[in-house]
Amino acid sequence: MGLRLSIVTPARPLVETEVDGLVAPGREGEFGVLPGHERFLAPLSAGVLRYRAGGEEIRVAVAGGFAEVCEDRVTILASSAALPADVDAAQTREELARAEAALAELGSLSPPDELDQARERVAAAQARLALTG
Amino acid sequence: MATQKEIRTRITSVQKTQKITSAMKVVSAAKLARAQQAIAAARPYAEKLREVLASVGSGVEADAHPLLVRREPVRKLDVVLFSSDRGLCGGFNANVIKFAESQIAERGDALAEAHVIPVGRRGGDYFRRRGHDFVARYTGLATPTPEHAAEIARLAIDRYRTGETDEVMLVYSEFGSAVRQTPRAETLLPFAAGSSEASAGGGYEIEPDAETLLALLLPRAVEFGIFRALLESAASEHGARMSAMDSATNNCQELVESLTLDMNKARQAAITQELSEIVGGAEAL
Repeated sequence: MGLRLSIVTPARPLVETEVDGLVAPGREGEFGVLPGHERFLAPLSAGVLRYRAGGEEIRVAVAGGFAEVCEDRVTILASSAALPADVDAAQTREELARAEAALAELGSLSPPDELDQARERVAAAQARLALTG
Repeated sequence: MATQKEIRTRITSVQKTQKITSAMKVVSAAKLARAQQAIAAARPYAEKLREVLASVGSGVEADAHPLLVRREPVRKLDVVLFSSDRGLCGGFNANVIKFAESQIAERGDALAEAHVIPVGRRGGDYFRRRGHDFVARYTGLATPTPEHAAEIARLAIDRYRTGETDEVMLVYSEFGSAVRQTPRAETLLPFAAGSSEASAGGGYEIEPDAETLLALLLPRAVEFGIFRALLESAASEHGARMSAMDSATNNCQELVESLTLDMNKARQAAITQELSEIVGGAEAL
């Protein structure tokens, strides 16, 4: 008996499938979820989530996400999420450059909130770009 | 009485208008269908978000986060007003604008300041004509994305945190059906995390702890509140325009029919006159 994974975003439900296991980019380091995991709720950082389904590994870029594990159901609540097919490499490279420029402009004296947000945007673009590689 | 030629010109012109209104109706119907799909697509996220918020919210104090803290009395109010960029949609904009005005008026003298933050050109134009200045205004959001919502949310959160406002209210048209859109007002900030009775999924291991999670979750929830208002407003706009264009098309049809009747009368009158002239002429011989 596997895990039921759903990834939902405000724009649409992205993934709803049976998986054997997954690795998610937690804010305090990557963590894996296998069937029989305890119930828990944790924030994710912008990054790549990987899951195995039918011997295949699938990667999803998520940003602004939370993971909820509850009785062999994993729900990822994400502000945005993308499958490799959704990513336009050239466009993402531009976004990454813009996000990096914005972060560089902030400097170390900016409010921590703004710095965090800028870093998240850089990480989100990097995650999407990683899918194309 | 207008001549046959004049009436014929008018009929042609009304028929051209009818072609335009019926084309607009078809376009709005297609856009409405897409907007309704977007609302449906957001539902799973909405449900999960509410669930998670309730289970995290039940584990913390009522004032565990600055965005949860109520400020009484409310002296400074921000109203985020969702209207459309384009007209020709019946009473859609007028309804939501009047509703926003009545919401502000209801607060009466308790308010020292009220700021309108218009989303959509029409609402902004209305309040600018009445001498309002805006801290920000947004246009071009006919097809809302979560990124648009995030931008507006950042402004709202900033203003609330820094004390520039004591309450942020959303005023938008809730989509009922193509013929029914109801103006609605809801308080976005201070945020109401929902009651704990929904925490059937309680007993979570929350990492790292409820307060930290809440601080990450609340901005997302505020963004989504705005995103939902954008979606509802967009669907309402297309619905209102579809209804307006439908009745405009029907009115054109009626006008064409009554003008055709006028033209037939004019033609008959002309024939009658011609006949009586011939008869009169024959008698005179």
